[in-house]
Amino acid sequence: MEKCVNGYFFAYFICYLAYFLFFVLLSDASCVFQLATMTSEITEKDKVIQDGSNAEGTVVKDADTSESKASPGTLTETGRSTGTTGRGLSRLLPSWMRRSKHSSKPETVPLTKEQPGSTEDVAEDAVLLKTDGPDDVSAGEKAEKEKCARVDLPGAAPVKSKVEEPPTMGGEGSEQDSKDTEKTASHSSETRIQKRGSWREYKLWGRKTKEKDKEKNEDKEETTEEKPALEAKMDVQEVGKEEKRAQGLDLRKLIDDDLIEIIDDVSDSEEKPGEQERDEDKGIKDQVNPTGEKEASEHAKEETEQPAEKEQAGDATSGQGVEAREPTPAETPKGKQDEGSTAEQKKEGKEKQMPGRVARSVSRRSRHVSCKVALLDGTSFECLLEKNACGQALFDLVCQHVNILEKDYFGLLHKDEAGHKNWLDPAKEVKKQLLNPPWLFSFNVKFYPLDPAQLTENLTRYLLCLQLRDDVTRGRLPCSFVTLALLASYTLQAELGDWSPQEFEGNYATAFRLAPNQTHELEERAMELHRTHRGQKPAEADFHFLENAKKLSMYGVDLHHAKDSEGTDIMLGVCANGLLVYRDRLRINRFAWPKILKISYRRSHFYIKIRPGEFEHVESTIGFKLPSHRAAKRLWKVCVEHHTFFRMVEPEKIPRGRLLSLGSRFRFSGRTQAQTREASARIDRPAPLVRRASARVQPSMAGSTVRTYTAMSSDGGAATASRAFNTARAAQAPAMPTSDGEDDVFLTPPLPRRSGPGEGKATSEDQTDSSKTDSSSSDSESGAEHEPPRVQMRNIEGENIYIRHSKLMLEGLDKTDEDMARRKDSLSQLKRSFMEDTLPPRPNEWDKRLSVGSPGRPSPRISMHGSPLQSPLNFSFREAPEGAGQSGNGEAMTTEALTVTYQAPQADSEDGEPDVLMSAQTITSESVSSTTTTHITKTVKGGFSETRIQKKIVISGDSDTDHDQALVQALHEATVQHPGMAITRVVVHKETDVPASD
Amino acid sequence: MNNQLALALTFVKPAVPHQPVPADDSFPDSVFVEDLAVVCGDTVLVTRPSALSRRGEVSAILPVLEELKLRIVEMKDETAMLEGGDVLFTGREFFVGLSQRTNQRGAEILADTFKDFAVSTVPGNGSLHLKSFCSMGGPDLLVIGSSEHAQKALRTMQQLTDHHYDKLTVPDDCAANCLFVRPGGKGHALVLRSAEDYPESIKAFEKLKDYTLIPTSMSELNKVNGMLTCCSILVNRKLDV
Repeated sequence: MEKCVNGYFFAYFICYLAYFLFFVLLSDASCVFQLATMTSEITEKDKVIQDGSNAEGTVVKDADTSESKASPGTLTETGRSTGTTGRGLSRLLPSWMRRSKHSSKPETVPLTKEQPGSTEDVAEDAVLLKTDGPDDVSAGEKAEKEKCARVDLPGAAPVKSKVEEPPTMGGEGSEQDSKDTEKTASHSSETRIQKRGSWREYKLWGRKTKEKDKEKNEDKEETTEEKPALEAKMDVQEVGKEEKRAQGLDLRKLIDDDLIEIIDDVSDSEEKPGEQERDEDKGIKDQVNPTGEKEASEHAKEETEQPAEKEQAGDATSGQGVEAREPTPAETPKGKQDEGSTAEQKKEGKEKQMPGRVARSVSRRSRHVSCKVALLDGTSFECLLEKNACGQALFDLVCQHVNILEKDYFGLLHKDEAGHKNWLDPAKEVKKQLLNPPWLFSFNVKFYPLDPAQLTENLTRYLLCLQLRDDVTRGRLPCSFVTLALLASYTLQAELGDWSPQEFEGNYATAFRLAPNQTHELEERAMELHRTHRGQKPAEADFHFLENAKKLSMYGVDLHHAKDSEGTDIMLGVCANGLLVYRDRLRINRFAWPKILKISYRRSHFYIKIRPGEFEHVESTIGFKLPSHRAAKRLWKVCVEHHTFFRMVEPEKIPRGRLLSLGSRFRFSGRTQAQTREASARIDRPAPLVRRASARVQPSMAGSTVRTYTAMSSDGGAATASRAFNTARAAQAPAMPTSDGEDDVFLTPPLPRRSGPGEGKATSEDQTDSSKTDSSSSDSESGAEHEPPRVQMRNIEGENIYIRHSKLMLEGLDKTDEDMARRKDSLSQLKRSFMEDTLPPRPNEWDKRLSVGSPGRPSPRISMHGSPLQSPLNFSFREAPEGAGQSGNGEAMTTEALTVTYQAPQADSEDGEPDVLMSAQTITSESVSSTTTTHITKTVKGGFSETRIQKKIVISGDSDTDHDQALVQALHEATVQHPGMAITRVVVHKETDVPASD
Repeated sequence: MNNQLALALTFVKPAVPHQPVPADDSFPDSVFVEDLAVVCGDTVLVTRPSALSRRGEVSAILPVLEELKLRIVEMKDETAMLEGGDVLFTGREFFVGLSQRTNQRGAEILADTFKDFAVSTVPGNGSLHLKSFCSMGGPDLLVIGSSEHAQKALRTMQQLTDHHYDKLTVPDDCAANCLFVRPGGKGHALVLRSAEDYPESIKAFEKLKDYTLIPTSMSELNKVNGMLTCCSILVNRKLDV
């Protein structure tokens, strides 16, 4: 009998070992990020460990051994070597043994610890068992037998009862104590423990119950053990049912998220056994004073940790189960759901029991949590976020508020308790990433573009500037006095405009925070330089600011404190090109991304595996010690993200679908730089207004100001369509449309329709979009057919050249007033956006690319759509005469412009209450001699929705073309195309280029 | 106002003949003015040479630097050691050779002084100065000797830099120490050791296109292990004299 018992226990032991190994593997893997270009075997690590030796940093072996000495939870060395055998063993075990392995867990856990343990308790248990030797084994076994005898007594009581049960065991300060007193503990505590054991068993083995049922008959002795487990499960299911119903679809999502979290957090939980113990000790002490509330909250706290960890265990072990037995597909999701429901239930329970966290529970009732995001310009943005929302949802809200399209360079930071800043993972739920109720974030630049000039929008550049100004003043971006002064002067120029002796007196620079230690000398110098920037537009000043800032050595370097193998304090800097190692501001090493094969972290160590170079032939692994596990994880994440963003074409797919997957599921979920550049090349909206901190008086907008956007074509069709513009005063002369001009035709529906709730909605936007595209393309095609072949220098005959869409604020009608107000705001921004000047002519990246893509294509032209509102501002196109010698020199031409406006009497959008823009889209199509820009805006005004179609037809050609006829034809076509709509306004703008004299 | 100009600022270093430093017989190494100061932009870092005998030279050179209206930064730290011969400025970043005459602290102060630039340390060359086997032969052109330690240093530098530099390897380490100048701000000229001194190396230099080679014999200085650049401090200033 004794032998049998011993064998039994041995089986436990082996299995524990196997589990632990498994977790070690998991945690190991959880942090390995395989750089895309190379081979990926976790097992390879072992190899590396042997041959890994490098001048810099820790050699892994050292690190490992030191670790295993240091922390009790380490079994790594042995773990690894026997890992496979351990698992193999479990497969080979006879079925009863396998089962006993399962059932063993709940019993042995309370054996060593009163508190419901987590997986790392399991791991610790394993270690303890190992070190304590056979003496303890028998003792523990005895206790276990006792428990077995009492198993059936308690029955399945409601979960709550166990929380409310009076504390019965006092004074156990340590695990050892608890172990010793275990045998003498009172009956009720035994009960509790046992129940928890069952609970745990359920949690862990919920998916296995069927198997167990089958096996029940095989070994009757152990059915007693199983019963409570099953009962507990039933109980849980019952309680969980309601929840399930209530939660509905959320459940599924929750499960998924949980799983992700789990995999990621395996090593988290492994991290600080010491801390955990302390917590638990505290918990036990708390139990001594029978203040039910406190105890409850303690329990609640523990329980919140429990589900995740349990699930993780469940997940892991079911993974093992896969090896032993293939689960039927029907079974698996059910198990998952159960898990989910219990997890949810636990959480609910937690909420109820937490009087301290009022804010959270209040927000729960409203299903929304208020978030506050500090923006770069010093303002903050507050919003209500659904409590289950992912990071992305919040980020999108913020981006919408900031009105930024090139958002991939940005991210949300939140501070954890220790004051460390973490990036909000857009793919994960916000609430999973921060615990404390005030959800505070800051909107920051996450990836500093290597070449800010390649950003499409000035607004993006402006935000980057704000970030860099902050970096400079906070000392994150060190720069010399000269550079400081120069950057400061650009800041002054951007914020204050041109220097003038009247406006700027005294030390006006003091008002700005320009440097970490701002001195008078610096201000003087900055103001001196400010005078030299005369004439620079704010956007230009920003541009120059960035051009100077990007050259600084610490531009875009994210620094992390670390120690090298010798314990020297160093800094690890993650940047676009790779990983930099600093010691006291001096760069002592650098690992470019291509040199790195693999990055990983384990506990507080961070490892990089280096590709063998020219001179060394073995892969070497270099280890760094970080202050904490979290720091290591943070660094690892930042590395993964930077590598993906800057070096990959598209992000790696997140491994999914497998129950058991080694390695973290964390991947960079955003767009890579390549993708974001592509996307921002497609941005086609009027430059959004950049609202500067010091709002300057905008130059008054004269009604007759016409901005002429010049489309220039360079020779050979290489498009250098650039945004040169002339601000020309157009004479509002009552002239007839004559030759060589351009025609603006505005179409408005005759009667505004009543706006229904679902009208003009985003659902159909895409369709509308494409259909419009079609119509406009056919439009231009037909236009090309109708028009007699004109003398053109373009090389391809009439067909669609390209069509671009832009969606501006495609919104639903079910918006709050607040949203409307914001819309309005952004609308006026749009309106004024043209006051914000663009940069001097410079080849547009996307046009370059486009032209490379299709060499035979005639030069694309800038498509400008007018302001969404019919404002006195007219945007006109000027066709520069095509031919050689034209490129890049638009200003040399003088322009005679003539604008004629016809307006239908009834259409009056200018006065009355202001419109609210619901949606706007612009479609541009081009044919040989004409460019048609269709701009469709949907607005709501006084309860009426109005669809306004604005067509701009630019007809270009030599003076001998009959523009009158072309205009008539265009008008006719437009009316035919949009039956039921009336023309309310016709603006004819004629421009003739007069070559500059001399 | 962008790249081009910035490059010009850093690279157009006209061979301003350094102002004569008053002769003083008490300073035996005084011809090697390079070690005394590091100039970049309009800032000069006055160094702390390791040899006590040379500290006095520093005070002798200060008036000259003041005359050039440079922002002068002095090393105050007693533990810091830095000699200009260990400092290689590539136009984009600094490399500091850690030698017997330059230590980590000295390099730190250099990094503090020129915060705009990355300062990377190149370890251990014994008693040799970093620039005794390498120098900049033009924009992004690194001239390097072919000895083992020179090549090792080159590899370190390549590892440490974000930029790409062309390299020109010359057979003799000493010949790798040359002086790139742009007389009148245009054209490339290279002051280098004469063919008598290093006949092999001059062939390597002759491969450079569009370069004016200015061979200089330094047989006298060679006796005291002198290098070409040792005798100059490059200053990017217009001489108002």
